[in-house]
Amino acid sequence: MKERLLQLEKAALSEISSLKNKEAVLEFKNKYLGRKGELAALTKEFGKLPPEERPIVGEFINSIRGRIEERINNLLTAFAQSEREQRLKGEKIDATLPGRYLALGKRHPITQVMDEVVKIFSGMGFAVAEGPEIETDYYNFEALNIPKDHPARDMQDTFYIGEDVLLRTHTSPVQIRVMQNKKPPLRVIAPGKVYRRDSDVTHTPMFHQVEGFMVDETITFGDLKGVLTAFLHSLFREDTAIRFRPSFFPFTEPSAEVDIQCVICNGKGCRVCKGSGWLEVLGAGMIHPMVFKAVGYDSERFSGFAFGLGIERIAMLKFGIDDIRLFFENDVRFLRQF
Amino acid sequence: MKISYNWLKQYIKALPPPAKLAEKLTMAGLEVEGIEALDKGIKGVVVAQILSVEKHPNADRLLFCKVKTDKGIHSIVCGARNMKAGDKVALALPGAMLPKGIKIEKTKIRGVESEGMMCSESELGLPPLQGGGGIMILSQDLPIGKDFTETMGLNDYILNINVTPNRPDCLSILGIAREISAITKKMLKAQKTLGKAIEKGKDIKKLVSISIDEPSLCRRYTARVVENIKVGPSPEWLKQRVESHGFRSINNVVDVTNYVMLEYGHPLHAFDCNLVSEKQVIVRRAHEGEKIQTLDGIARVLTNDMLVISDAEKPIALAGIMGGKESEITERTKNILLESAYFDPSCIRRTSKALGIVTESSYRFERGADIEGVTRALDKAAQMIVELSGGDMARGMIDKYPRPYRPAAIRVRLSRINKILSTTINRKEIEDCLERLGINFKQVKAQKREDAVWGATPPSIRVDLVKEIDIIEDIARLYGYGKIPTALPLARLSAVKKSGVDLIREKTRDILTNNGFLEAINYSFVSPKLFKITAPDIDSGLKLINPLTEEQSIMRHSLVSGLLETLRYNLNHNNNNIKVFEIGGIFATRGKETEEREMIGGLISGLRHGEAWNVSRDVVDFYDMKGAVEQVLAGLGIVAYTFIAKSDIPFLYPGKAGIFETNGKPMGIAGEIHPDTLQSLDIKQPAYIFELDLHVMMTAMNSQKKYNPIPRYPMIVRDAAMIVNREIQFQELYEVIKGVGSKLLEKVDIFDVYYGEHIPEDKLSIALRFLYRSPERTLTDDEVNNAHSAILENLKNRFGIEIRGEEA
Repeated sequence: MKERLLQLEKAALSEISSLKNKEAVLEFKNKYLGRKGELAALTKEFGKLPPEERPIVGEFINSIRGRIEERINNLLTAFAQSEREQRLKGEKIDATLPGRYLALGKRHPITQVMDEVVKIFSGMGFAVAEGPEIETDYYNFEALNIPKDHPARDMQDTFYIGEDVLLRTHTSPVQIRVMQNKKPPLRVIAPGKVYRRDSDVTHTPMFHQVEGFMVDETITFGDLKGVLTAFLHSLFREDTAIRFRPSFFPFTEPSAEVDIQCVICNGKGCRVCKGSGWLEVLGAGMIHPMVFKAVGYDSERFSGFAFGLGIERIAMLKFGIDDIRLFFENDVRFLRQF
Repeated sequence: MKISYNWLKQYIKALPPPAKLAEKLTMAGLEVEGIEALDKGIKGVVVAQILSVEKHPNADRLLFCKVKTDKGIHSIVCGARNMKAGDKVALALPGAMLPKGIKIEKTKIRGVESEGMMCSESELGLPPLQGGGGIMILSQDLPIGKDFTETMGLNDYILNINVTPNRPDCLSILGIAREISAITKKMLKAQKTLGKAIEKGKDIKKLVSISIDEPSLCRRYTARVVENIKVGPSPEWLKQRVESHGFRSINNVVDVTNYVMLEYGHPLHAFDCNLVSEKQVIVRRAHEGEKIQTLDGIARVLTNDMLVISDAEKPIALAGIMGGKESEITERTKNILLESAYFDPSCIRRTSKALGIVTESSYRFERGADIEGVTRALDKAAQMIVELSGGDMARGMIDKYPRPYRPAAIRVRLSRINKILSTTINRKEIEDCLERLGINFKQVKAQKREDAVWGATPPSIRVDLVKEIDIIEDIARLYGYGKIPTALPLARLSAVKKSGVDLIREKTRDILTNNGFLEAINYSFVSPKLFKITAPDIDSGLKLINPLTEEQSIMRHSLVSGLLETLRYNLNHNNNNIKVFEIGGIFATRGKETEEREMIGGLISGLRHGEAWNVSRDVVDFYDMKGAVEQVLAGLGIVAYTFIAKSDIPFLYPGKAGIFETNGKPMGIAGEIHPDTLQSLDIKQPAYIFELDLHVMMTAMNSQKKYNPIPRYPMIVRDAAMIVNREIQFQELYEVIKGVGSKLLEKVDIFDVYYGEHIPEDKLSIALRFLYRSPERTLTDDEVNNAHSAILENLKNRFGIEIRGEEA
């Protein structure tokens, strides 16, 4: 019996090494270990054995079954593994193809720069105020110390809608509107669209401005320099050189134009800065006593500074855009870039 | 303002080099926008004389010349034929530089050596002579060997200075020199004054009479007469001077008036004295409708608020703006009347604006001339005219000056200066500044002992110095803005809160950009054609009185017009898949009132997901657009609104459009653009738009977010497909479903809408999914069945709906 069992095991183990696939293994398993298999057939003769041999032979049968089963299982695992590998290989994709996505939209570059400017001033405690784009001559000019027949009106060519109704040429009227309604201390910025009758590579008839002002009892020209320097260092680089030079605006005195070191050539002189190494980015000054008079503030008690900057110009410098008209053509190939 | 560097040198000793000077002026408020080297880079070109002109031995079209300079005799091959032996020419010797970086070398031309080049005007960067061609022939009196740029006055720089409107005193050489003197503390060189000896003619009072009818508009009028002059071309140096400052050279009289205006800043005018009727000059208002032909040849019709210079019969000049053609200086002129006057700035400006004439003269008068400088300019011009064109200057001048200039002293406080500027400038420094500015000052009593107060009287030329703050600005300018300490202000803290409008803009931008929309910004003005698309009544539009172009002549009435323009622009550039939005103002008139509203608009057209290898190529439809709007509204917490289908919005597709309403107020529109509208704009693909009123949205907004508990009990789903009359809108079904008021119904979803085959033509199939749930317990089938059949019963009764399938 033991002999035959050993023979069986030997035959089985030699057969198993020639099995090529899962089906063959299952067939083999059935042949030897199945209910009607060869091992089962031998086991039927178990009853003929003397009782004292039964446990020994039984254990022997089980150990043979165990060894064969282990080989079968190993083989099945190996076949399964290679089969999976085969399948995975077949499912290969070209992973270098671009991914799928829902295109995100973009804020207009002007909005982005405007938001950045507003954020910097908000951080310094400036509140946002707004005013109408259609203004009266009074708010746009008279109250800002630009009387009728004054040559300073040539500085801003105006679109008119009626005799005294116009498209605001700057956001400075908001300064007047706020001061008429509130008492100092004031820290306000006024972003918005403005209009001037001008059109070329650096001018469009509509553009965006941020006007800002601060009024209190002790505001000085030094404060103006401090706040605008902090602003420009935040908007551009921390180490950007800045200079203040005298200029003229009817609604501020002393007035200043503020230049930053050219961001294109780092002050060496290039086409953008016309070789000067400097770029004009802001107009500013101490609020003129005549403006305070127009809103009923006592200019002996209160002082303040005001400033204005063109957003398009800043955006052009930041993004390296050389034609201002691109902002309003709304070519999606342009808008997508920001 | 163009300013010659060499001319300035006549006023200031040891003038800094041009670039340095430009920086100093810029930092003192006179921004130098450019420096032009008049020689345009010319070097090594000298005056030479042609000794002989012969034919080139090897070329018919070339000539061979011997040319003499101080260095010897040079052989030159030349292609021009306009010269002869004896002519003086500009010779570029080997190594010389011409404009645009051209370098001249010794060359062989057709086998003959040429030691340089004789230059034409254009090769020297000069305007070519009329009918020119050929080389430039120089005046015989130029010395041989002398540097060409020097003899022509081209060894000069022109500073282009941006003079701000408050500084008319700087519109001249003298004015800029005065400024340089103040900035650099260098003294002005003294200038010669008119010697009496030159007045050799008759007594001027016997020659002309002058009266001012409008002393408020003409506060001073002075005149001189020069007789027996010879009008002719100006000498080279004068021509060159006026031309390099942007004037056309006319003759030796007109050029002098311009020269003196450039030098002193005061405009002058010369009349042909013989053409002044009855030798009478009257400064008066024009009669209404009176006519004058001005020097530019244009006949002008005048009004009563304009000032003219008139003779006994008619106007002979538009005061301070332009002379009359009739009394113009010509070659026949023998006697001249020279005018130097002071005119009211506002009057000059109004007239100049009304007639559309801006001249160098009006530009200066409207900014403010120096009333005290009137006679200095007159004297200088008269003297130069006598020197350049002969003639006898009449004895004396006429000076009508009814109310002479009386300067008022301005109170200037040391404490105020330092308070505004946050400086610690001391008395001596202030007085030094005032002195440099030519301001007379006297210390007066101060209210506080530690303060100092001056009575300061600016020179008459400084028309901008009227108030204390004006003086403070000038002190700051001279002191240097750079030296003023930079500090951050101390201020009370304050909370900065975003306004509701700002919140809406921000959220909308977030939502729409997340949804793939690009933000556009269009001009606020549109063409009448675009305007009419959204507002058939053109009279409701705000029209610009002075538009730049017809295309930008009327304020937009809707964002849709601009968005359509954006679409058209992009389609023309082959960008066919468009998703854009804009936030901005729209405008209208209501009688005399103007109205401004802020809107949010959007437009989609083309492929839903754009061009890519791995996305569906579906085209957007109405529901893409409507979904975007619904997302915006949901994001803003606007829930109380309805969408009402409308077929009467003129520019929208009748069956594919409608309005959003909240609390009975229209909040916006949405729909497909009408095919006729698309056709009129030559747009060849469907487009869908929406436009929402930001202020109405604000009334319905609820930005307060509130937590809803996550349901703890399971939901039970019932689907129902029903055949519905196509006229019935989903909104109506929905109202009925809601109307049943089952508390168990949590939500209704639509999972299919179908019409076509197997469904009668006037019907459609709509499949709804009803979700039932209780927040307190698990529902039983019976409860749900009851609620569900109640809803279906209502739908059947109300619309005669056929339920096709009911499944659990």
